[in-house]
Amino acid sequence: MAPVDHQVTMERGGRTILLIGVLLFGCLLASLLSMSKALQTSAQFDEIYAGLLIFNTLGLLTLVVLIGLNIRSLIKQVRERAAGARLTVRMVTMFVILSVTPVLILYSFSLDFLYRGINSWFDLRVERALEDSLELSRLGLENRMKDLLRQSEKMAEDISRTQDALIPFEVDQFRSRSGADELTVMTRQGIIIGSSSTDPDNLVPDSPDETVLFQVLQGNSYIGMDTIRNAGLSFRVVVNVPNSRIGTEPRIMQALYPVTERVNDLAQNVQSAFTQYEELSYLREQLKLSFVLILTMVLLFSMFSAVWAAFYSARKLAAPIRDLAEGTKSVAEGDYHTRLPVPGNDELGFLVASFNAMTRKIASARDEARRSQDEAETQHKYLEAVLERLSSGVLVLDAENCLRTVNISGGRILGMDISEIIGHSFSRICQRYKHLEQLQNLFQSHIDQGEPAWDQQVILFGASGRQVLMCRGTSIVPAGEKDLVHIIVFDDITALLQGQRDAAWSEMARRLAHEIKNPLTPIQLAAERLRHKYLGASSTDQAETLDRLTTTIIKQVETMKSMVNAFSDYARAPVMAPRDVDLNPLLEEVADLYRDMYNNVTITLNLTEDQSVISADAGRLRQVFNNVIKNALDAGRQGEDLDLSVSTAHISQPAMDYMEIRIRDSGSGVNEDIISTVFEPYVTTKQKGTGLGLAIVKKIVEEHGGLVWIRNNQDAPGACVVIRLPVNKRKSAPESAATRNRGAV
Amino acid sequence: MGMKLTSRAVSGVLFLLLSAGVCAAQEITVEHASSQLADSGYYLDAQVNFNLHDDLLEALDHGVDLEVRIIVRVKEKRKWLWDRVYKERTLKFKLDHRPLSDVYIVRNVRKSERRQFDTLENALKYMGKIDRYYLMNDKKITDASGLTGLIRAEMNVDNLPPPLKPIAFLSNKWQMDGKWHRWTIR
Repeated sequence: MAPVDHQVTMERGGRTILLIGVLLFGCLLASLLSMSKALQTSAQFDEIYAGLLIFNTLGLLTLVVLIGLNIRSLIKQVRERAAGARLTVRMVTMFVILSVTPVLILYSFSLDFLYRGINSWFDLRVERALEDSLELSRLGLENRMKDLLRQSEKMAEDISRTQDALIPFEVDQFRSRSGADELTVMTRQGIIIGSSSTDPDNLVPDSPDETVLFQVLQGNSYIGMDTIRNAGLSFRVVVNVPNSRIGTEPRIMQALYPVTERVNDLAQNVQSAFTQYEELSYLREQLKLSFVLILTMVLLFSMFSAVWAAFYSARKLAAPIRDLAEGTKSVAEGDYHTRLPVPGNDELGFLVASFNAMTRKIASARDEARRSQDEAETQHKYLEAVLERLSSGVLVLDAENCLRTVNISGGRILGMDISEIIGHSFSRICQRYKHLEQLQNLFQSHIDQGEPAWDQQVILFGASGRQVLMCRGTSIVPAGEKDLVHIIVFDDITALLQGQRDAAWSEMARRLAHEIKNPLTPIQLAAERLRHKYLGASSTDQAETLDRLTTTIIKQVETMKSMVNAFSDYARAPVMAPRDVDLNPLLEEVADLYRDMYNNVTITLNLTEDQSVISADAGRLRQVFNNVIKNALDAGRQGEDLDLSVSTAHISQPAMDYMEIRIRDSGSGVNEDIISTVFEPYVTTKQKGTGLGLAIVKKIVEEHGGLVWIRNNQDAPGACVVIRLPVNKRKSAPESAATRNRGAV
Repeated sequence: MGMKLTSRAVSGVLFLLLSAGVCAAQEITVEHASSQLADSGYYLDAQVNFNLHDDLLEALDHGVDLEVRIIVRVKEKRKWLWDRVYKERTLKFKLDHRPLSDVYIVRNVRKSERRQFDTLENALKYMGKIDRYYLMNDKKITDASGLTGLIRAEMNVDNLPPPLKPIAFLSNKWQMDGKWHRWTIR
């Protein structure tokens, strides 16, 4: 998700959380206010008090859960070392301390004031006074009740003397005399005998309840205060009517005496005040508890709301900083397209806007650099393509002689795997590809001499055999660099030179044949005819002279013919018939030929058992070995034994796989002055030599892609001819890799 | 001083919260209940024993009015569905103490009747004794065997003074709800 989209989602989520939080806050506040109202005896909230209590408790639990979730989330962020987490912790801690501390102090003082306030409502003296007033009221009423009881009992005695039949007629007089509101005479079973009331509408007298009747039936009188028909207090007196005559049924008299309105009011007031005070006193602890409950809920609500708000605010404040940290991290990881939402016009907003501008510029610069790099890469690829298609080899070395560039043709010509050598020093490359040492020596000498440009041929013997390279070197300082780089361009001119040489020798042979060989035959014939014609006719002296001269002419002509034929052979470019050749039988065959020919010559064969074969024309190779061995035998000192050693070895190196044949003699060696040119035509130290033997050797070896050279032995007299021929393939695996020695005399 | 009060308050609140929901004491019981058909109606006779908790009695002696509800239900058994409440009646009594005359007043809220008792025992007996209480008309009842009567009594804490409400809601001493007592309608 893109940072901006993510931020938008976060903002929506934050708004939702804020809305829910504000809603919860409002509901809880309303609920707490309702509870407070209910506590203040507001009837409309009485019925929902329990609901409010439960709602507030659930609301507080919800806040606790929200805070718990926030704490868990924050701990997780801190553990994951999320950006801005520690800052959020610090801010939350600070906000919580700043908000909760005053609330707690306020709560503490409120509780103190609450307890003090409620306790101040109650005073022991007031309580005592109320109790005394109640007691006084009781005593006053009791005195009145005692009087009324005596009066009623006296009246009961009077009634006892009245017959039951007369009571309904006289009860009214009794009532009037006693001052009672109502007077009733009844049997013990509650059957009314007679009744009188001041209220004419009151037809049914007020009967005593069962407990009163039970008390009276026990022989006791009853007097008490009672509210009669909801008409205020009255004194109820129930007494037994004495039984004055035998045979009459026992009777009960009830008199209801009014309490004066004044007394009634006073008694009600006293009772009401006492009851209210008692209730209030009794509810004091409950009232405190209720207030404490409300206050505690308000405290918890405030605290939890503050803590939750602290989390919300801290997150809100830390969000731009967190975004900045994450943005910085993204930039550090290379994502320059990070754009942060600007939180506002404050300093943080300015900072975020600056960050966005910075990342925009970095991204632009990066894109520009990438474009430049792409262009450079395109040019580089173009150059590489050109170099790849270039037939010439190109080497680029830095100032430390490390190989910076080599094209495919270069690798092909030099027989190197270019993927393995780029960046390596050329000395190290030469350790792997030893045949390149000549090339290294060549350009190193020119570089050491500080030549800005040079060209020179060099001969290598690599995987493809002998190579003649035409090298051209130059040293330049590329644009944007300080150090020199050395560029060496080289071409394999082996085939070209060979062709040129072949052409030259062919031309020479043609001219020899035309200019020299053709006149030789008439010369020879003329000499023979001269000898034949004049030898017999001449005197002895003249005949001897003629014979000697003509013989010399004929021999010299023969010699010249041989020489011309030799040249023709050298210059002729016979068709090669290459096939797989095992050198060992070929060398043994040639050695056997010379072994029987000379008694003073010891030929030792030291042939490798390596079964490698070379692709060669066996006849021409035989000519090579014949020429070399013959040349070695000719080099032997007159009358001395000659040791001739022929050895072969298979040498396998990276880009170099060849058979090396060494033919070493113990002769007089080669003069150091001509040792470098002995393989050139006409170079010979022998009086009768044509100077073509070794030249033909070199020609044939080079035709086989090989290399030949000669050197004088260091540890003994004589010289050694070294021939290297590239290996085509190997025959079946040998039983032993050890070199096979076949000594013979 | 403040901290001491705070700790006391918090301890009190915690105690109340922890003690809330503990099983209510069974101190209001129905001793017996029966109904009889007379004068084209069913009448209930029952005896409910109120054995109030000391805290309630203390509140009563300190001028707090107590309200008791006796709920009577007649349920009709149905074959495939749950029982239907065929009739429900509620008796409400208010009990208060008059310190001047030291008597207990019982008021039948519905009937606006008022009785005075010298002792609390008598007042509670009066409230619990249900004699020929009219339940329902028998005209619509074709088969009374499918009817079951239920009766229970409870303290009504809703009408307590507000300061008492929190403790009444939270304490099981005040939540005196009797169990349902069943009888067969005849």
